Amino acid sequence: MRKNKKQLILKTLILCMTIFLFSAEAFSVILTNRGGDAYGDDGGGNLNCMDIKENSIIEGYIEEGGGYFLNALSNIITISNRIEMSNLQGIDYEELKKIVDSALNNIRNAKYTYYLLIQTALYTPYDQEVITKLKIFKYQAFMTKHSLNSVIFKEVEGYLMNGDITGTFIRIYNSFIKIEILLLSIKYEVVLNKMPSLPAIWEVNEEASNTLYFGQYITRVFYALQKNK
Amino acid sequence: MKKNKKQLIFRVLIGSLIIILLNLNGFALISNNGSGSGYDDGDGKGDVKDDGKSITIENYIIEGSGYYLNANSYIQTILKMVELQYKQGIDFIELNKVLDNAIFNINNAIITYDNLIKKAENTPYNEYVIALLKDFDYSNFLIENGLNSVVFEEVEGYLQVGDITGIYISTYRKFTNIHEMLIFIKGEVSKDKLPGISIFWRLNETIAKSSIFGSYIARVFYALQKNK
Repeated sequence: MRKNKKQLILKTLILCMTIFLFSAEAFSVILTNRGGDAYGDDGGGNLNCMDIKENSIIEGYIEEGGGYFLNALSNIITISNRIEMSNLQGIDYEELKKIVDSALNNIRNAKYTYYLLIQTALYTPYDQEVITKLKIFKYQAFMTKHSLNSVIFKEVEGYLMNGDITGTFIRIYNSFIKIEILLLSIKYEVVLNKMPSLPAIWEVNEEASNTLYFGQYITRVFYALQKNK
Repeated sequence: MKKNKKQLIFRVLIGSLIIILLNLNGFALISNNGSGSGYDDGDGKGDVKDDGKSITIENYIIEGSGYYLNANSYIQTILKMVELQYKQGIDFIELNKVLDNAIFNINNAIITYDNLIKKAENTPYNEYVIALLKDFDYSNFLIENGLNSVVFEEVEGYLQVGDITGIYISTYRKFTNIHEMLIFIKGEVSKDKLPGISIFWRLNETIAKSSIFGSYIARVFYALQKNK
């Protein structure tokens, strides 16, 4: 009788958690959001309130990292704008230095937040129900229906169809490192009051845009899973 | 004798023009830049004003890109506000201001590109640059630089047939698409509401695609200049 009661409580908690995980519309926004959905309990089968909290921690890191990254991207676009307009308006190197520093600070914060996210994700078992849904998801049809960029979406698919959510965080973390290195190379030129190299400007723009695409496609897939539940 | 001298001056001027057009280091920058070198004056007089006409096109590109990059920066701020709405809440007055700035800038980018297209349509191509574009090794360039093949193939589709004006028209359409989405978002925000998330995704993707598209074009023209 006692065992039955425990099982009932356990089932109710699992149900509540599943409802919570798939009804939190609030978390489906821009960059890899809802990736936290794929993380479940502590691995010991003790589903309690802490489980939901762990998931929220992951989702919180994703949001925070996404916020820093979008700030960095805004700075990178402003840098591009100043370079673009240099032939018409000249360059204020002091201002440019400040923008580059701001971009560096933001991308470093994004990187650090994703580092914490990865550490948390590595120690949080996946929610197997979500992983199963990811494995049977119709990626090809989804890509065609939404006219997505196939190169980037195939990369996303490569991670998600294998249930490797933490891999997507690591992939984004590595992009943040690339962006930081490119920004540093730009900074080294700017502090000498020199025009930064154009390939570095293009690469930082393209890397940031590709990262944005990548993160957003992940959000789209999780959003579709939630809609199809 | 007089005719020969005129022809010589004409040839020297044409030669100088080509050198100027392919030496504009300062003009191959972020988005679509350098493509102005694909236009000639077409009046056959070969005077100094020839490169001035190309510079007008290049100036439109710089000006339009400047506005677009400004709009893009505001759009990133909008996306950040949407991203962090559950942590920080949404200040609709602030969001409305940022939206207005984004709309103002993308509207100016549209006007500038409209002028650019009109100018480009009335300016003959520089056949020397067009020939270089037709001979360019796009496949190798794509692999060598690890570019996104979907976006680069679109760029290649225009450049390998020398359709530079087509690039401007494509960019113009992307800008008008962005403008429409911003107006739609503004309609909702002015009622203190946020529209569904999919409009932000489409906005984001159009912006990302436009940026990569423009950047790849600038890269090709930069490579032409380096390989000359």
